[in-house]
Amino acid sequence: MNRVLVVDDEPDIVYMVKVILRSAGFEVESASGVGEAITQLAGEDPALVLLDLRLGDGEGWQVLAHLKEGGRTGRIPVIILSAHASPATAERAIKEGARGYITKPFVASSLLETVRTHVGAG
Amino acid sequence: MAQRLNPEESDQSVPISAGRRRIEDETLRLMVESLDDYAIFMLAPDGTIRSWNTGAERIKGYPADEIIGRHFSVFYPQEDIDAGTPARELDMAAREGRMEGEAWRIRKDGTRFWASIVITPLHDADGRLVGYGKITRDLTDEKLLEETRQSFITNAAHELRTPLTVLVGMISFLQASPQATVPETLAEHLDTLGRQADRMHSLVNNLLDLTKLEQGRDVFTLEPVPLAHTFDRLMLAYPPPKEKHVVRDLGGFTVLAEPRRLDQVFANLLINAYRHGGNFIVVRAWDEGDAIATKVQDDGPGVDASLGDHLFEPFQRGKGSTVVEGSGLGLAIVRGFVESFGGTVTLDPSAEGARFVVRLQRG
Repeated sequence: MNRVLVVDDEPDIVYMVKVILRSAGFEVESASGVGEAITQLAGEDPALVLLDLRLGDGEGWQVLAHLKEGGRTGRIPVIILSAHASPATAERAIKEGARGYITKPFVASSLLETVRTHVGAG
Repeated sequence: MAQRLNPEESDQSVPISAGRRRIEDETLRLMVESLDDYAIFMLAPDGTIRSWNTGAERIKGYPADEIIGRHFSVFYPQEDIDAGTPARELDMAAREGRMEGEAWRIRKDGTRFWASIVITPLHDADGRLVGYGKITRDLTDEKLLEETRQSFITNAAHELRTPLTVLVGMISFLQASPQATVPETLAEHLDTLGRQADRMHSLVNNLLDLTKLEQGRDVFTLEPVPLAHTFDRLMLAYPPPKEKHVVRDLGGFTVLAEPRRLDQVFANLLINAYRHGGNFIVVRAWDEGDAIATKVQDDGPGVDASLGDHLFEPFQRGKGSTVVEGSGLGLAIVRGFVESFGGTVTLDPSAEGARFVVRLQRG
């Protein structure tokens, strides 16, 4: 089963993402900040990371950089989930190695479609 | 030609006498020199400063004897000098008859100010360029206010987007897969939706409260309010979450306030303590002579002291805070309301945990 790691400091957003992805057969785990995300990534690689940019203890950019510098983890596809709607932020995300960028708010089907594009079905 | 005693009656075709011209020139010179909100000065065709007024000294910091004779590019930031902006602006003024704009400029002490600038070319009777007139205003305060407004709107939009994301995501999921939802999970989904709808509601109310405060539009009367009554109401409306306790020691103190706003002040402080504090919250009032002080103290990790007074500005959050629920407007409203009662609110940085102290006039 494909495992997705969602990194967001809003518990209800994490809840919603879990509900949507689990209904499609994905296994979902979560981290609420930079520190927790890095700890989780030290374990088994997830198939994909959904990453918020504004986190309580730092920024999603730090998690992205950590993944990209990590050799093995550099291959894990990262999709940014952010309330920053500016094209400049999206461009930066792609430049720094993210595979996709979803602007909040988003509908369930577009989240599923993006995730499936990168990791196939759950 | 005989000089007319009353020049106001003079015919347009009659030339103004040299004496009257001198008086007018002198009056104009005095007016320009003494204007202190506008820097008004003359430049030679090559940009050398030829004259200087009081406003120019006040805005740019140079006294006349120090700046006359120097090139006007001294007011531009280095990157503009490197880009050839000063010469280009004179060129544009000469070609178009006027150059107008807003940009950062540098004072004598090296600080920046946001300047509104007009450069006008001056020609002699034969149409030859003899120099430029330059008028500069300092619009830094207006610029900073505008930036604050912009960032307030950006932050408010960001805060609204979070609950909206949950609503849009959950509703679109429920619409697409009603079969995937059994009654037990449906109740949980609805709780989540309700919580985020409440959050949006409270953010919108807070935004309206702050706007009214800033415009001074909210008319109200201060009256004596017993603190114990306020907290009796609050314990019913905002009971402590499970395992949390509020210890109250309010004596019989009465303060001068508007009751609904005072409820809001202490509700916001209590909710902060519920969210960020540990299990014990102490609310105590004491007499300070000319004021009644009330503290709301929790036993949590405390508040990021580096924020200082900025803590009370909209959308400020402590570094390292892992709890970001709430609108980010609570403390701004606390300060606005307390100040509207003629009181103060401070964070006591020496305390363990977060200790907010509200000082109000005795009621």
